[in-house]
Amino acid sequence: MLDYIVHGGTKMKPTIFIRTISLGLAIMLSAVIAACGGEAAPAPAPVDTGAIVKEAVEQALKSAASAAPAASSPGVSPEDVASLIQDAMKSIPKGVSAAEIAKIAKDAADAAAAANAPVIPKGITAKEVAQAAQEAAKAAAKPAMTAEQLQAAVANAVKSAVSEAIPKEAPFYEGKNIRLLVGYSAGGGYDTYGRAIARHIGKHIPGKPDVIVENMTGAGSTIAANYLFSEAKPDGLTLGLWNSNHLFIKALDGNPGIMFAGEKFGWIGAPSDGNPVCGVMGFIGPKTMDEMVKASKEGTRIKFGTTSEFGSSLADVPRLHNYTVGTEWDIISGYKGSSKVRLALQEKEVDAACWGWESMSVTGRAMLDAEGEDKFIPFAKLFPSEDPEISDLPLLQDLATDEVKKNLWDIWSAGYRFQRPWTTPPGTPDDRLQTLRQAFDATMEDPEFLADANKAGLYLNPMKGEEIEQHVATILRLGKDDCKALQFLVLDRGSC
Amino acid sequence: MIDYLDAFYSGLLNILPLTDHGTDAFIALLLGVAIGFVVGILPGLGGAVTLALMLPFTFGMDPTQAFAFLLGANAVTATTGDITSVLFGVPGEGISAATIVDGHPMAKNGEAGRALGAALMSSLVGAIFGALMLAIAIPIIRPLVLLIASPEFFMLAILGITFVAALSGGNMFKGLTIGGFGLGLAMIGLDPIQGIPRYTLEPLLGQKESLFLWDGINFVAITVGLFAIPEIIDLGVKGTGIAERASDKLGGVTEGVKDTFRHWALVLRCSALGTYIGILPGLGGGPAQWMAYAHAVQSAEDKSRFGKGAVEGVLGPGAANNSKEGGSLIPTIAFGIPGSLSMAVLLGAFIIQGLVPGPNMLDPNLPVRPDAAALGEFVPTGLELTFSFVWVLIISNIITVAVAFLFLGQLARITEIRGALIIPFILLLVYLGGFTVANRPQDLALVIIFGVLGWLMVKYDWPRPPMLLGLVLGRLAENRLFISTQIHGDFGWIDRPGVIIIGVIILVSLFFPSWQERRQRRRLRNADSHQPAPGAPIDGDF
Repeated sequence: MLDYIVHGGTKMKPTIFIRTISLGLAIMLSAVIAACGGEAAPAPAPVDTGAIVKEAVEQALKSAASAAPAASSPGVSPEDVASLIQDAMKSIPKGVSAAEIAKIAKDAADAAAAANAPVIPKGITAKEVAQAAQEAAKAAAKPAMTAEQLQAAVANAVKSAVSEAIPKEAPFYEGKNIRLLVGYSAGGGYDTYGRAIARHIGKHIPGKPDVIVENMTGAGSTIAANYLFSEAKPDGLTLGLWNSNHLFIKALDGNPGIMFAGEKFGWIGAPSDGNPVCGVMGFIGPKTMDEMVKASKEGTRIKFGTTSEFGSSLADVPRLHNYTVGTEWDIISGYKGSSKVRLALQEKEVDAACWGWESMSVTGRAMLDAEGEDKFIPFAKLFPSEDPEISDLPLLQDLATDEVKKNLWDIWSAGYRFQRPWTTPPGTPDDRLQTLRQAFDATMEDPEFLADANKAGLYLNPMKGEEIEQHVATILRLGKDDCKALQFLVLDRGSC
Repeated sequence: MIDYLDAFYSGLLNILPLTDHGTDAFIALLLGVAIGFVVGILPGLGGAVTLALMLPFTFGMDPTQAFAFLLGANAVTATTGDITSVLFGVPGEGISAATIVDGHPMAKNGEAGRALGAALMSSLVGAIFGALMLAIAIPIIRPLVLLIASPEFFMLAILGITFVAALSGGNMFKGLTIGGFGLGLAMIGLDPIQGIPRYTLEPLLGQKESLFLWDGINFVAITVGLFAIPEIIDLGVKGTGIAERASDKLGGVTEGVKDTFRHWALVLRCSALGTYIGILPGLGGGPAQWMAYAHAVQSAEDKSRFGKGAVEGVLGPGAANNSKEGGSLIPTIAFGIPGSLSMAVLLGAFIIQGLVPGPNMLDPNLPVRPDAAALGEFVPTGLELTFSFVWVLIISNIITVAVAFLFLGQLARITEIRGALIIPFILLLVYLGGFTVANRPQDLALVIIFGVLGWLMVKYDWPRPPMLLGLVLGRLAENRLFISTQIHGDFGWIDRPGVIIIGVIILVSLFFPSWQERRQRRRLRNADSHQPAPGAPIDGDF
């Protein structure tokens, strides 16, 4: 039984784990006190403390449970523990009353509960915790002490043993390296964001691991995503940064190269969301959304520069708009990325384009500030924004002709609620994912990181891992009808 | 005008160790040059990746310092990349592959020192030329770049391929065939319009393994395989050092420097060519060196020497791959359109420094950042900073060439080391080059496959450069042709003036060599009637 309690910790959930620790501590403490007392006053007389100890243990259990509310550990009843403790207490000294023992047991349980679970890495067993606490207690307890002194000394020693000695023993990440696989080459947006965060996140992970960025390029980051899904070891040491637009394309079954199931990844966090904005050059005439729609309906040819990277705003937004609003904007595809589209706009080769405002507002600054024919005029956006430059623009989905089509925008845009998320391979232990999530969130508030990001002109609007999980679920819930309706986005390649 | 000259002068002062902020910038420049020097020599690890990794270190720098650091590093990679190309036949950089074609045979002929001298000196001249062009061209560049839209880009790509195919091999039929093969190789991967995988060998490799071909074939792996593996085989078979003949006086470094000035017109023409190709966003550094090489061949009297160690074949690419740096900065500075991958990373540095590319980079009076006063650090005017770029390009190359010259004598002697000792080292460079571009083991297989192909091509006398040109420009050509037809209709783009002009140049480049050859033959026949020695060498070639 005891064996089960102290060794069982390796495979238990954290909540049960806390309780296991507290139980272990309670037992161990009683034993310690018994041993110490035994030295101080030999010839013990058996004391009937069963009832009081039982009460103490129940109390301890309760306080542990209040810290981590869940059903009590299966197979271990308070009665079992009480009888074990009772056995251990056969040599209890005369000067220590049962009430005091109860108090010590309760303090120990509180201390165990206060040491919150993620701080104690999973590799450490309850036995190790107990041993550390036991040693601390032994050192604190002197034979000449009064019962009061003994109580205070042992309780303090246990508290510090739990809160300090345990995490110090070996956080999982201590002395280890974390690999961050970036699906794009060095110097791009993904790489820039990835490296900026990687420089700072290490210090927020217990054990302060180094985070090493590795560029695993190819196939629009699907190589990295596939690798992460099926080959990377799910030990929390290999993380990935790949284009989450693939989730949506996968839902449409539009890319045979995607060999992963999106719902199985662990989502750590994302540095920002994205807000695609559409703009049109001054030379073509129409300057607002209404004028753009009207011009198209009157037969004016308006050319949109797009890429062949499905799922990106450059490629999808104009086509989705054509479908949901009924415009006939001309889709000119084949440009490689927004910088080539920007050049085409300036050459008057194309007239309009849609891409992320966070990029447009920086790299397209000169065009936005230009005058007359050369001015690039934003006319619609995906999400509401407080940026004064685009705050008045209409939302893209508001012009959709019916609710079904409006809903398509909702599904499509779920992928833009978070951009460049960090992921863990499927099957990564939950506590490590939680550790990484906390570290990611802490990094997003780290002044040093913020200073770096500000310098690099990185737009930040962090999204927590839990929220990303929900948005991913929204994308993956894509229904059969919607999937069929949206097939044009992947050139009718998928089967729904 | 006075403003202009004044800014030109302060641009120099700002990076010289005469003032406090100048000293900081100069130290940053030296650091950058040191990094670029090593990166250039090592194959595979390119300038763009290095810049990306250096970028975070510029957070704490002022604008002049940051750009001295980054530009200094980027400017010298092409210069020192030539050293590896000449000595080992392994391209130190993707953009210094053309130097191999004649530079390495020179090393084999015992002229390593001369080849290095010529490569470095022409690099310096090219760098200075490109930098001065940057200084002159900025105010007038906008129309020149905007003239080139998709149809013209398509035609330029075709021009690049035919130009090199027609000239580099001596045999136009073989050249065009290989160029076409290169175009075919460029089709491998996701098609740029609809994103459908083409020729990714899925049935052969399996769905998962075939993914590495989705981005197309790794250009550096192919270059390394094509050029270096045949040399290694050759070296192993011969059992000598790289140099087959002991170097003589003619093989010296100073001779190479003299060659640069002996062929000054060629060097300047190739510098101009490199600068213009650099200006055009999208063509990149690869085509610049090869078109310069083709031009060197085309303008030479005796074409048969090329590929066997003609110094002109080193001078042309040497100048062009450096002059294109100045050129590619022009669209980056003038309107934030990066001309190459390195420039895209450099654009990141603009953002880090809070600078907006465009007209304010040319303003001689206003600080380049509007919030300069609040920053408390040294902020130059826009024009001053732009001119500092010019000076950084010049000074970093002068430093590099000066430092390199100190070691050239020793470097050249590497070619005398016994083959058995040097082969493992070259093989290491080869695989390093193939692997580090994308960290993919599959690329090593490509190195070997194309190494065998390269060996066969050498054995049966087929030219290799057109394949690289076809590969590099094929994607661009396809993409731009498709965009052109979408916008202008199937053939609506053909009557644009730019298209017609480039079309004429293509036709000329196709037919001029054979016309020239015929004329030469006629002249020979005329000469024969005076001199009774048939088959005598055309010029003083011995």
